[in-house]
Amino acid sequence: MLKCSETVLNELQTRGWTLADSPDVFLAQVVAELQIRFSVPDDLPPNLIQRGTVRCYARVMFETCGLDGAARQKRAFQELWEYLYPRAVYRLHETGAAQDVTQQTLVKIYQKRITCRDPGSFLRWGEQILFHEISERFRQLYERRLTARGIEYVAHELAIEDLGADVSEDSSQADQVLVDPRQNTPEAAFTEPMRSALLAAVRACLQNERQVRVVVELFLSDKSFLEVAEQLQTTPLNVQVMRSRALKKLRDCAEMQRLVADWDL
Amino acid sequence: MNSNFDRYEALRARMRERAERYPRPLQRLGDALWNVQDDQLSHAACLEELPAFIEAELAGDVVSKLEPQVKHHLDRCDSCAQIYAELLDTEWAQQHGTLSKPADLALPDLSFLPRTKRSLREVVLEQTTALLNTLAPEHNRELNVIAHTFFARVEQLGTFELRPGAAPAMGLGQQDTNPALILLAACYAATQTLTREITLTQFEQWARQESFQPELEARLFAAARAIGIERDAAARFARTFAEQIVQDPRPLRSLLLAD
Repeated sequence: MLKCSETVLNELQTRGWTLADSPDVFLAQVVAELQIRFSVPDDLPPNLIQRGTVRCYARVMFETCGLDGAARQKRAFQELWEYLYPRAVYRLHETGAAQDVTQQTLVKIYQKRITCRDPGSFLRWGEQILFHEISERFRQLYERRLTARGIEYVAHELAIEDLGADVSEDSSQADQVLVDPRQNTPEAAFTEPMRSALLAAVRACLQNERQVRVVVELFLSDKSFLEVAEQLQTTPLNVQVMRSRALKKLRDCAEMQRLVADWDL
Repeated sequence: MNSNFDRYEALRARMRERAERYPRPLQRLGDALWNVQDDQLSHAACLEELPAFIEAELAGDVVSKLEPQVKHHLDRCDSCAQIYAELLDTEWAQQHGTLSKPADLALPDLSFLPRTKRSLREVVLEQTTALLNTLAPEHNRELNVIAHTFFARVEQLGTFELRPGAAPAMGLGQQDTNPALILLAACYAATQTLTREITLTQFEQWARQESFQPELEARLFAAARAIGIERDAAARFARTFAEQIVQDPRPLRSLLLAD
């Protein structure tokens, strides 16, 4: 377990995480966590050992955040701040606002801690609260503008060219998905008339090959945002933007509606 | 009446009619386009599952198989998908090195947390050290030697008295009048008695009165005498400890219970 222990200790040190009382006990917890899914933890790539470490440490942090009156509780919240604050800065691009929302998030985490269903995901759960606070802040800013200037819609639209480098306009990639014999459900293997009809309708409605790819991968291949982001070499957030725009266009597109209504092939 | 609802109702009805003819992927797309409200999973349920869903995805699990309801809710729900994408996005940024640590991490305000409760042992050790520094500084080193044994014994006994032979029994020489042991025992007994007899509110009120120090001294003297400390030593202890508490009541205050 030497490689595993090095990775675990390195992860704790890099992140500045100090709440694990006994390194041996914590390492045993990480090994047990990894052994739920893998038989030989020491052979795992470092990123999976790191994930296991983060999950186990999240549990420690969850428990310690609940130790009212203990000095360790303060340390746990300090470490939570160090985890969340950079994420707030990344989202808001401004340290003052980031401090405000992160502070509000810590209070909410303290108040709602016991509602976290999976202590192993405690950090992600805390991050979810952070993003809710950020959204609330944006919503308040938006309302103030509307009040001051009368009825003026202020929208931040991303241009397509902002959504990722090296946009591939090669339409054959979307086509390929629909004939890939590795698709794991029988329904995904569309017959030729079905495939062409569907793709033609989607293309006619969207007029944008990257959006076509997003729709095909998310809905027809049932891929996740992360998988689609990796395939398109863009970020998950950009995938969401493209998805949202694509669905808006498809929803009211006559060709798409006609295809679905007349689907009888 | 919602005109959008009417506009798509015919399409929804058609989809329901011919459900078995649509390949599953096309059904999912159709639901995301025109059947958004008809979802097995609510927003609240999806958001509750989201942290674990993302952890599974990052660990390489095929989440569309593991949690199909969550995945398909995210396909059709803009607000939940936005939260999901933001959470994934910061993880993405971290993995690709674009989530940098700000130069100044700033400090949180943790005053919303309950006061840090110190243990009786911690406070007594601190106070005894201060007493020894005043009354018998040459015996300060012995305190560390005897403290662990002393606390283990009294915590076992509950109440106690300093009997003849206590100091030799703890390896502090043949004399029974070891100052470190006497002050530690007196401080422990007095602090324990005070924390049992008064609340935080009572202490705050008492501390504002002019008679506070003499009354405090009397109580401390009584507590020291109750465990068998001889009169002169008890008086010296009570006078010094009372002055110490008046100068800095915080350690004692941290042990007192709120009403």
